Amino acid sequence: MILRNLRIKNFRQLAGENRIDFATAPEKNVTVVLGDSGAGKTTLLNAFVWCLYGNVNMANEEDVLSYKALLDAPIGSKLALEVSLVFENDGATYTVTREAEYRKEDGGKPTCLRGPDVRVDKVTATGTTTSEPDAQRFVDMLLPKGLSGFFLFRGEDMEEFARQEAAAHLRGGVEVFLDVKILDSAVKHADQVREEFEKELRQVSTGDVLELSNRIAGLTADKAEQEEKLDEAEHNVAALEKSKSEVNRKLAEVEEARPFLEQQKSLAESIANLDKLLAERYEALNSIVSRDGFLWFAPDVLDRPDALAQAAVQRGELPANIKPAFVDDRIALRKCICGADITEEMKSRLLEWRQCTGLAGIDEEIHSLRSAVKDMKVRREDSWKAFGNQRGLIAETLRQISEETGRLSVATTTLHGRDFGLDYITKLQEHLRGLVDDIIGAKTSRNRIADRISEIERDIATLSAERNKKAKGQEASETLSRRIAAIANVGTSLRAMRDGWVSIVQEDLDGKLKVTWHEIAQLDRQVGFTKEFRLTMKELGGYNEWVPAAPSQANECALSIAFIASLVRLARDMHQAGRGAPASGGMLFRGGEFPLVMDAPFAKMDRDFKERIPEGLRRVVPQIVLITNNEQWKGVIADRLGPYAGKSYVIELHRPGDGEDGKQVEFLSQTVEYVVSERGIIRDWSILKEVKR
Amino acid sequence: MKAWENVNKRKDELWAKIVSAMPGDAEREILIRLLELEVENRSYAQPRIRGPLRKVVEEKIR
Repeated sequence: MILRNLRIKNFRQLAGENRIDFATAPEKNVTVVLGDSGAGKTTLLNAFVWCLYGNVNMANEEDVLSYKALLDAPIGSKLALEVSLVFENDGATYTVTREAEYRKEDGGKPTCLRGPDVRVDKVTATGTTTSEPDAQRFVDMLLPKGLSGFFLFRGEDMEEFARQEAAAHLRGGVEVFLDVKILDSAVKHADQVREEFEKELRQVSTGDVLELSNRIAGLTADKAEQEEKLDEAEHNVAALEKSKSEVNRKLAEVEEARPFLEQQKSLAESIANLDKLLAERYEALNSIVSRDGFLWFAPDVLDRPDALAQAAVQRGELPANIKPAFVDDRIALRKCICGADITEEMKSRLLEWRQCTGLAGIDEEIHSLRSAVKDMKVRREDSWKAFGNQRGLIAETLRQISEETGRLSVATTTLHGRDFGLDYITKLQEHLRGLVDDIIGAKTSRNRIADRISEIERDIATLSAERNKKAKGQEASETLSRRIAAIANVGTSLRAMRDGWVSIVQEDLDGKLKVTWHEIAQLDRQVGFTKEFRLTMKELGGYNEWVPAAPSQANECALSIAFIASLVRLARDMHQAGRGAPASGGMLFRGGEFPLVMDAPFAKMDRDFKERIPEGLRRVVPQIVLITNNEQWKGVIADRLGPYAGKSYVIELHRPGDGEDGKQVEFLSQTVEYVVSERGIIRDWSILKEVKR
Repeated sequence: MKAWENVNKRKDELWAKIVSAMPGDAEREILIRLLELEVENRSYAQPRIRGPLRKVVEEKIR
């Protein structure tokens, strides 16, 4: 089943006509479909399911007709809903078409006029065209619905395959693969016929044979009751294991979160230290400002005295050219410096003038003031520099705080605000211990019931043998006893065949899983598919021994993908080797080449897995259709799968808006419309567009 | 392909072992006819198997 194209008309959000041509070349076998949240990625997956099986896993299954198509159509007009899948299988080309026709009624609601009907058209290699007479049966033979979840799946659900409680689901899948249903049905019919013969025997027999028959009937009823109890006990064990699995996953989350918790703690400490340092630096800054700040804002105060003194010098008022001691000397010598005698009158004037030379004191004062002002200016410069330095240090500290706060925010977002305190972990561990005890109890109870059933079966066999002996000679009873024994033997053989067959394939799948893991993951883990139909993963522990790997989402997703790839291989092997042994009754499912259609499958994987698994998977399976959003695609997945993308599409989401708040993204080196803001619409709709490279 | 051939081989061996462990030809024939009936009726919602199976048992075990 190699997909060629899918045409979708008016299905859910995908209004109008949409078409995807799938990549088929061996080295370009990946088709990537990019779509934002709400664009219709799951709708696209559902379109496959609806086309093949006529139903989808949606709450409102009837609401498959496109809302936009309905809204745009005039009242009374007819609307077509159609999904058509073209694929190749065994050299022929098949087209599965499921369609329905609606009419838009007065109130705006649709009435289904026809369908949904399915048809399968086949074109052989020689060009002969035929229609499959029973289209749905053909689809069920090609890919039974019970298996479709393994080949067409939502990534969100995928990790569940790897959980303890998924054993029944996996067993169910393998049984559909092997067409075990036919053996189950045969067992049921053999039991019914045996029961009819038993009833007849009770009617015709007498004496010991009747008594033994009644005892056998009693034991058979007891067995049926015990089987019901066993079923209940199995459910109980499964429910407890599911809870255990949940708790283990939460503990794994704690383990996964540990580096982030440690980072969160260390960042919080670092931020506290930086806050302290910041406070100290502000303190130092305050101290500079309070000590010297006045100097920065009063340059005039320092410069004014100097300016005034300069001005006085300019005017000749300062400095006093003649100092008082000089005047005194001249008066004492009675001689002027010009040689003239100093008269009494002159002396008296000189003395008077000398009084004025008190200004000379001012000159000294001014000199000393100018010196002080100079010191103050130096201090101002120094403090200004210190202020600048301190401000630089504060800016640097603030930058560090901002950086660390950003990191803290990332760590906190990663932890999703979950509380991983000691109390939380202790409670989980206590819960786990309780569950382990409960599981041991439930399993013991289940085993006891199973033992009781075996005991009853042995008793029935013994009594039946005894009855056969006693019935000899009583013609009617003897024949019925022999018939009962024969049909009971048939039932036993069928059960043995069923269990043996499933077990052989479980072992084969275990081998395939191991090989597939090494091919696609190339990581040192031990994986397995146990006799209990559980997927297991082990990793190397601290003492170089294999220990169970943490049940993290990343591990579960990786393991599930490897298992699915193993199923793809199993289907291929089955097909290549022809059908199963004829004695099995001829299998309905014939195997074949199958693509994987995956909606967001790699989202929960860690980087190591993302680096390897997508590309490894591409090599193992014949075709991949990857439906993803841009966040999950860009980066590692785009790097690894981008080179193998033979076809690429975007589901362009049209959203009510002002026409300006749309979104474009880079996809395979092109800028594409991702979300289109559209005026005048009231609900989202989408359209598929090819991104040509 | 070899892997599946091996699986089928094991299946055949299992089948041979189970069938040979059956006490007689009559049981073997009933078993094979029952499986044939299942295949013939598999597409019916209400398969008619019980009556024909009963007849087969009555014919083979007299």
